[in-house]
Amino acid sequence: MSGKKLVIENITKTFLEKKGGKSTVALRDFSLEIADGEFVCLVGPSGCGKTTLLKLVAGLEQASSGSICLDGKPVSGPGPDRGLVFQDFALFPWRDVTANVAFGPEVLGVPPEERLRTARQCIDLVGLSGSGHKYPSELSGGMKQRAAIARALANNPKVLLMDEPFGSLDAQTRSQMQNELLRIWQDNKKAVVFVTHSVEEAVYLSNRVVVMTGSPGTVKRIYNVGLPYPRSRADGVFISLREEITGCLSEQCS
Amino acid sequence: MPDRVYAMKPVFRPLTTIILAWLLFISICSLPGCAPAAPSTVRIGYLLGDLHQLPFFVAQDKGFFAEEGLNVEVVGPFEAGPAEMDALAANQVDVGYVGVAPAVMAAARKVPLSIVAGVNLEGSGLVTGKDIKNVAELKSKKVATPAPGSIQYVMLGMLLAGNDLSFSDVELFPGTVKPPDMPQSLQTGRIDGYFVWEPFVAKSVVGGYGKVLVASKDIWPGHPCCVIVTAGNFGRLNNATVESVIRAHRKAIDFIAANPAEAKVIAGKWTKLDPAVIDDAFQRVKYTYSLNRDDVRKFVSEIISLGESGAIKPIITASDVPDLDKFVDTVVDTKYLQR
Amino acid sequence: MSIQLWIPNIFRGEDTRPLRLISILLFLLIWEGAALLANLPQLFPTPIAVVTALGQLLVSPGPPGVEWAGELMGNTLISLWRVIVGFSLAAVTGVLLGIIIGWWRNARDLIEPVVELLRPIPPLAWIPLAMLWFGLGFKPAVFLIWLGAFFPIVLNTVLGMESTPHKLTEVARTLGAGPWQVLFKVGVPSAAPSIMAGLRIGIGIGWMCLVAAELTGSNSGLGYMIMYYYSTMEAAKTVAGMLMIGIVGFLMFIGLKKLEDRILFWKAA
Repeated sequence: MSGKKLVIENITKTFLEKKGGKSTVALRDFSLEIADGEFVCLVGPSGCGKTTLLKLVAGLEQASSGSICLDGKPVSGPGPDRGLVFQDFALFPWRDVTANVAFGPEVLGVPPEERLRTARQCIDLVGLSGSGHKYPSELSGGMKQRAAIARALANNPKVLLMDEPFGSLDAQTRSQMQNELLRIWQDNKKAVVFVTHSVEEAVYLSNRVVVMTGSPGTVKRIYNVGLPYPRSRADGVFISLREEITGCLSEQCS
Repeated sequence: MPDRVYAMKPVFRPLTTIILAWLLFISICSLPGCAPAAPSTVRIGYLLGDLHQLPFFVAQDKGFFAEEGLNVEVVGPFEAGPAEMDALAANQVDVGYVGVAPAVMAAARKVPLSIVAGVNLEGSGLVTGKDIKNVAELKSKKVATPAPGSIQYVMLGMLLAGNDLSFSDVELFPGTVKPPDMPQSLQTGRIDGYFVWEPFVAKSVVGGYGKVLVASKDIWPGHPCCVIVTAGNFGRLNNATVESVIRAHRKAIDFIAANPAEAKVIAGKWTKLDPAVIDDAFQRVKYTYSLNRDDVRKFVSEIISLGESGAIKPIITASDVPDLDKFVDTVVDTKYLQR
Repeated sequence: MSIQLWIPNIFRGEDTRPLRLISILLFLLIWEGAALLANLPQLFPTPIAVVTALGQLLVSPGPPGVEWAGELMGNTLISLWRVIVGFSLAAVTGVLLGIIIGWWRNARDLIEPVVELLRPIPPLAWIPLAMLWFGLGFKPAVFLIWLGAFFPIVLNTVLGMESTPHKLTEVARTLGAGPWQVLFKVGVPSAAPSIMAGLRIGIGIGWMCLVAAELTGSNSGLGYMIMYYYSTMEAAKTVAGMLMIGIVGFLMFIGLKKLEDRILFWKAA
């Protein structure tokens, strides 16, 4: 783990309501530094601004104040250096898996043979080999999410942003996908910012868990998870960490 | 619950079908136009802006119908004869002022009707731009007439045939342009010529942008034009009413002859055209209530032969009227004029 | 006629074809009976007369330019050509305008009020203007067909563009797509089902406008043919023409549906 990849400094995001003129402060003074290759999870109560933060990093929203820098350069709009994976997959239904995955290189002007190669590599990486010709409507939930991850990876982003990507999967597929994600992450060693509701998932996956306060959202406490991979949910340290973080979420943090 | 308890007895099935069919037929017949009119009112149909029908306008405005004790319900105006004959067949019109060609066409289609009096002779014309010198120059030009089956439609066919041409030599637009719009269509160049009833012939002449290339009287001097037609059932059931209509009609014809100035004013009101146009048009129309059976016969045989020679698309064929004389005698009924 | 007739469709399992055939036969029988009773053969034709008329119209010489096709098919071809031209124009202009209005808020605020003002005016009401501007024949007919097809196409295209899921455009942007790429690679494909629906509705309305268009400005085509035979009181041929209009309209609908199924195969497998 080397250097500061992503630096989020004193981010405040205020939303102005169109009618009534009320304003909501989603994030206040949020700061976080993420190293290259690090897996960081964001947990927090509903409405704490986790998704907003992700969108700010992705460049889909603009911060009201503060700065976000990737590799030292400030983030302005969306771009291929930050890959984004949604909970509802957001695959293009009119394109097959290969065309979906190749979308990024395609819009960046990569010639056909090269982007097909890249697509195939990513498809293989996420374990969808042989399903390249299928359409999203023919895929199961888990397969769709693999495709979405492959698509995000096709552009070789510097950081992967994931917004509760396994939230709509059943428990079995979810646990399977968690292991798959770890495998993929360990293979390409990208920085990952992962938003989740599930503390257990956070402890299972990440190097660090960031606990956020409720609205307005800010950093409450950061926990280091030093456990080696692959982790066991039955492990004593795992369980006590999980209890601690859960407690921190609701009231007091140690 | 077993099906048997609710199943209809086999004998009821055809009965149900018949009842359903009868209900359907009844509802069709209850549509407007199916029932004959009450005899106290007489529904009279007429053509749009047609100067030939002046006797009707006069009889209405001067109260001749009322004098005869008639309650007239005016139906129309119709844009062309065939539409009026359609209404007659559908029992919406009892007495119609209409061209003789649509009348015989309807009769050939077995629509029960009788031609009981004349209304006028001649009074139509082929109008073109001033640059066209003769009929031959009409080739590939756009010519408008009232609907197929109207007198003007037929007479254009006669004219073209007489010049070794046929309908396929011109770009014919029958029924496309309404007669009142024809002069303006000529003026704007949308059409190159039109064959229609007065006063829309005169309108282009007086307007200065058109000329009468051929008057209908030049094609057939003294040809019958508009007539009075009674719907088959109506005539039979309401002899007295028809007599009254004819009496009022004769008064109107006499009035026009005796008071042309006032008649022209009435004409202007019903055709919505100004006095100069009416004046010009008046010269070409001859009003008469007499009915010439042989002329009607000649008209029918002309239509048949024009269709056979290919000058026009067949409207009445020989097979429609196997015995021409018998047909004409059935259709033409001069008894009201002889009283 | 047992209780079985009244079973709701969702409970049915067996084939209902026999009942459909009986329905058509019954209809024809009632028609024949009513026509014979009315006894006005030239105004209320029997089904047999209509079939005979169809036969006659197939062999009689066609209108100028397509004499070889026979009267029925010749006029059909003429009408079809007008509809194809009018509809194609409507498809191109309608989809284009729909994309512009549906994608850019400012364009919508600028153009939509005018569109909404003109849309409720039925094509029939445009006939006098059409004849004034375009004269007689081909052009006013094409204009009226274009009018009929244009508005549903625009409407449905706008709907489709506006319903482009935001997540998809966001994802596209994070993958590096520029604004035009988002429009053409995400917006338009996403709107495709709506656009196809609009095209299908458009051609249906365009075909219906055809009759109105031809009644008043032409001297050829199926609409004109119907009016011609109405004038000469040959009702059997009029009804035959009406039947042809119905058949062609139905075939066009089926054709477009098949096309739509082909293009939109990716929807719910």
